[in-house]
Amino acid sequence: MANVADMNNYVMGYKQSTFPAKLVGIGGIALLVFIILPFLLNSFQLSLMSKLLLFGSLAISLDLVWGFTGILSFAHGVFFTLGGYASAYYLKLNLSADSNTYGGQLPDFMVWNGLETLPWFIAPLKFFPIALIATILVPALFAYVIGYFIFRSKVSGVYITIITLAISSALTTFFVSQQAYTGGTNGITDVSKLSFFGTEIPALGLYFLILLYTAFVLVLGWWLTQSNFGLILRSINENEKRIAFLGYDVAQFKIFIWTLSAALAGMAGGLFVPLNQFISPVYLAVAFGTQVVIWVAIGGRGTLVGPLAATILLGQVQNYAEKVTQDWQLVVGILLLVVVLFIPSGLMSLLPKQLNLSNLSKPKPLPVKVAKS
Amino acid sequence: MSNEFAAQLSRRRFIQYGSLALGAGVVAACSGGSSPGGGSADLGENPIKVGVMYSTTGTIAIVEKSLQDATFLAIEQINTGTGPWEGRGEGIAGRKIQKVVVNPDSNWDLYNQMSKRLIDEDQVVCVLGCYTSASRKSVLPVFEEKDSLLYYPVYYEGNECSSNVFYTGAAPNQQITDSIPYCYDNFGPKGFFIGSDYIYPKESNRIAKAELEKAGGTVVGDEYAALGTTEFITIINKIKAAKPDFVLSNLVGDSIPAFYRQFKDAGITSKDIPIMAYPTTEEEIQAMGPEYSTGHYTSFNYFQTVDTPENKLFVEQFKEMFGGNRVTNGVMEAAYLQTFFMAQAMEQVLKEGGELNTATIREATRGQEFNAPQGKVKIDPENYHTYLHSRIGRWKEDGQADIVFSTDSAVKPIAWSQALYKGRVCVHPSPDDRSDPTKETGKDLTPVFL
Amino acid sequence: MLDAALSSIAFPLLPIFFLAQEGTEAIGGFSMASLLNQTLNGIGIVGILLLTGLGLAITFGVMRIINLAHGEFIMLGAYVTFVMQDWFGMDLLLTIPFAFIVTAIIGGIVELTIIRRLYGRPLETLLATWGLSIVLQGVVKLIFTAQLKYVKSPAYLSGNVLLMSDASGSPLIAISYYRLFIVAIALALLALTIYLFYSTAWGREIRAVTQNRDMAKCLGVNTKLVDMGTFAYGCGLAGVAGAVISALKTVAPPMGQDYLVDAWMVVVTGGVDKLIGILAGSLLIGEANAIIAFILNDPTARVIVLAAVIVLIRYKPEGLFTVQKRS
Repeated sequence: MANVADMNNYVMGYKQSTFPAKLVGIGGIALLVFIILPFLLNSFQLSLMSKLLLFGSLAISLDLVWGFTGILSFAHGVFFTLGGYASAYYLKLNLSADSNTYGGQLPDFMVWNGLETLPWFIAPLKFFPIALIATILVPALFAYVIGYFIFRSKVSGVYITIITLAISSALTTFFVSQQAYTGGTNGITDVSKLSFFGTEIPALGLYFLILLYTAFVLVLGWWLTQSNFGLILRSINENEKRIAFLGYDVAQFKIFIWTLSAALAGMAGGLFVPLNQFISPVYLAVAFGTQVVIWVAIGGRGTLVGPLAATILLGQVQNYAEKVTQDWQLVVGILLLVVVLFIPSGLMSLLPKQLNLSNLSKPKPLPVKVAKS
Repeated sequence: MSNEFAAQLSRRRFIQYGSLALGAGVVAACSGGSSPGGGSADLGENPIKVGVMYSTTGTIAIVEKSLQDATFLAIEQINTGTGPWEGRGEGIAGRKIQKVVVNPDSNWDLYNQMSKRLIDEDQVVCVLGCYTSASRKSVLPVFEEKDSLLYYPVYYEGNECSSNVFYTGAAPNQQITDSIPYCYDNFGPKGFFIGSDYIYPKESNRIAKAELEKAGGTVVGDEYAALGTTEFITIINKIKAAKPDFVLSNLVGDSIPAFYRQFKDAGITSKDIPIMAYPTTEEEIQAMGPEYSTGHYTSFNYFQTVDTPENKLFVEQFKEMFGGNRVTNGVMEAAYLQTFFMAQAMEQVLKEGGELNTATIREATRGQEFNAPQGKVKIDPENYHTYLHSRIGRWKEDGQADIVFSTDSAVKPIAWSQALYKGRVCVHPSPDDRSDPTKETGKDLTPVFL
Repeated sequence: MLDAALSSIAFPLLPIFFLAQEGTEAIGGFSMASLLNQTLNGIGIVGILLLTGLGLAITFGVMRIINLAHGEFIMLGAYVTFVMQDWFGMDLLLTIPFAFIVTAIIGGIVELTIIRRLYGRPLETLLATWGLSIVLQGVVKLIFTAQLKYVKSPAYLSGNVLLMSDASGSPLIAISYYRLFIVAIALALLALTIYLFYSTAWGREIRAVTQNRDMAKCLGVNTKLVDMGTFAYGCGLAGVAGAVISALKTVAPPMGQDYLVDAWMVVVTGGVDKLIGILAGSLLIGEANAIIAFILNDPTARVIVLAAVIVLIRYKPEGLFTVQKRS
């Protein structure tokens, strides 16, 4: 136990000695840029930026588990979408009566599929507080159950990844087949706008809401990984057995970060629906899950800022590549190959040392070395 | 840090930056190589920007690529004053169409994103595009919010009444209403319904079920396969077990060839159990091989064998532009004809000295008529769907259809299936009145012809 | 090992034997004979799973490469068959060796240029192969367009083996020649692969390299060549799968995606230690899918089977058929 106490002291000392002045400075400048940016953009660019910021916070949430504990998940699109459906039901059920072609309270896709009453598990989502809680809690609970099931076993590495692949595939099929409740392949479309006490939130307001959320996820992620908790997560990534010998319940840590990450992803999904005006199983599918993994990989695992930057960068690259060639995904594929082969630690590793944010968020003394003392 | 290490490090850096540059180079090279639609053609002064949104990659590309081809042919003919545009001069009242082509990669999320880009950034006047219901549903909120126009060329499930979409494919009453009594009369009362697992096949089959029951038949099975499924052994065995008189297929995309092949492979001939299909067209038949489809049926508004002078010209010019081995089908014809609806409406606006915007084009498109390859068609001024011919074709050994049933003229579209929603119609009161256009008449509607 | 395989055949059939004793009344609206017919036809699904999974059993099972471009090698095989038929009018059977050779060569090149740099880094391999799958799809689309391609199936393989017919003469239990042909090819390739791996010098080298790379190197095994050869062989098998399937399904650039998740599930279920595991995996998944889908429906069957695989990985991550090892 002495070792653990040592480690804590060491870490606290480390934290005191390096107040992240540079980080706060750079973060402040970046935030300022993002605050001014929307006033310079046209409405398409504004909605694209909002979307990319949300996808970015999704990528950060994956980075929390992949970059810091080494769990590669293809299921983060699933958590995102579960949150999205919760928020989509809320917006769908709050369509004003005249815009609902059926006049009643039943969403159109339910009528098409022969439902006569609103299912009991969807009905409460009409109320904002319940919908908000569900947006976070449903993906978190789902993740908790899965996490509890997986991490308290000898399953590791690639097999966890394959499990997440199967979850994504199974849930896509399930959501598509339950058309009466989920809207099938179409998903939930024709939803109302998000409003705040009766006034509709404009696109700019939504952007700032999303920016606020992304900043929150980033800061939360940074704070978590800087803390003792983050140190333990890193240690799990480095040497799981050793950290278990030190008396930590490794599974519990994994389950916690996994669940938290799912909650963050879910909330991003929840914000996505008012922006995008629809949610569908396309975000559940393996292809979207892989997309999230690619953002993190290209940005640089364990850097938090990297995945966000990569999401925005790739989104813009794709947008421009699309303008010049119909075969833009071929370009994206080649780019991915190039990054994996030649820049394996991601784009963040290319930043000059002085600016390297990933260094700032990485405590120098590795726990393995501490334990040796 | 030793020098050697530093040297190694910088070499690594060099490779990294170099590879990034290489990547960028590849992007640039690709973009130079295959710029879509050959945008370099001289478009003269003040061209009209029109969005063309079809996936040319991904799972739906097998269908949407040919829709894009048909659209390109129409735009080419309008810009050069040939084909049906003969005698109207080059372009629309002197202004050529500049097509802004996007490829959403069969991804509903990108349909949504790219439609926003077309409207806001590229400032297109209107958009031609989409195939699946899911993609239409994903862009609908965009077109309604920004009050822009979408021309949608696909037979669909109905139940929609947007004032921002012109539907130039078949409504349920132009495809299902005639084919089900035909099946009942010619094959027998028992139908087995199959489809891909999404809204169009499900809703379509629900309408067909109501029609079949109205005619006195029964549905002995109802099965759905996930979009893109190519394994049909289970469904085929269920069909065998249920012994229906006919199969109604609403499978789409690459499921179609797989199903027909495995159906024949399981030893069922078209004499035993004929298949009546909606989405199976000349293109899918070509892909599966005509030997698998011979004797089966499709209900559509257009077949390549339709005998009109307009169609001869269309088929000839399409083959000339895209190769002699290509075939035309009903969806392509709709993609083709809707481009002319759009062009005629624009011409009308410009000739009256108006400005091209959503309101003027919408007003001018309502009631527009055109001599399409399938015959004379018209946009219904009330519900923005299209008067189309209803036809049934029986597939021959050469992969072409023998038309065994055809209405004399185009049928008035009804957006809501009358078998399910009796008396419900879609009437847009006036183009700028955005109130709910759905009306309940409570009456039986009799078919109206053009 | 043999009774392991046999029991895996018997397992999915068990409920049917029980039900059969209760007579021939209908189950879920279908007669006993239809269900038996479906069970028999499930073998057709098993054949395809086995064929598409076999290549992955080599690249992942033996070499531990997470190959997300596996489906694209199947797609390449199908296109080779298409090209051979379209240009030279070849019979489908004759195109199979070409499909093997061409995809194996492409696989070899991929190993040489991409995979080789990433050994020991499974997650990077995963990303690189995903990128590769996008590139392969894109290139094939550029060359052959996105349209579906037509592959002619051999006339002598059309038709059905009739095992039982009802009073009016219509078939009750039958299976098509082509499905049987797929099963036969899959089994033959499995046997060939097992022979190659366990009874030839090359096989010994492969096993030596996968068990202890450094030691094998010391003993003079050209590990790089062995790696390349093995990966190429795995890709070649995927190519054969594509060639055979092309006549029953559809040929288009995204076709490989359909087989990827299933192939993974098959390999993981059976376990990767022994090649015979893949037979067990495909039998279990194929028959379970066929029977559940017949009684309920296709999407439900898929969800149930995937959930079962997740539970299986949780309790037996090394798969059902593995050698007990001392740690």
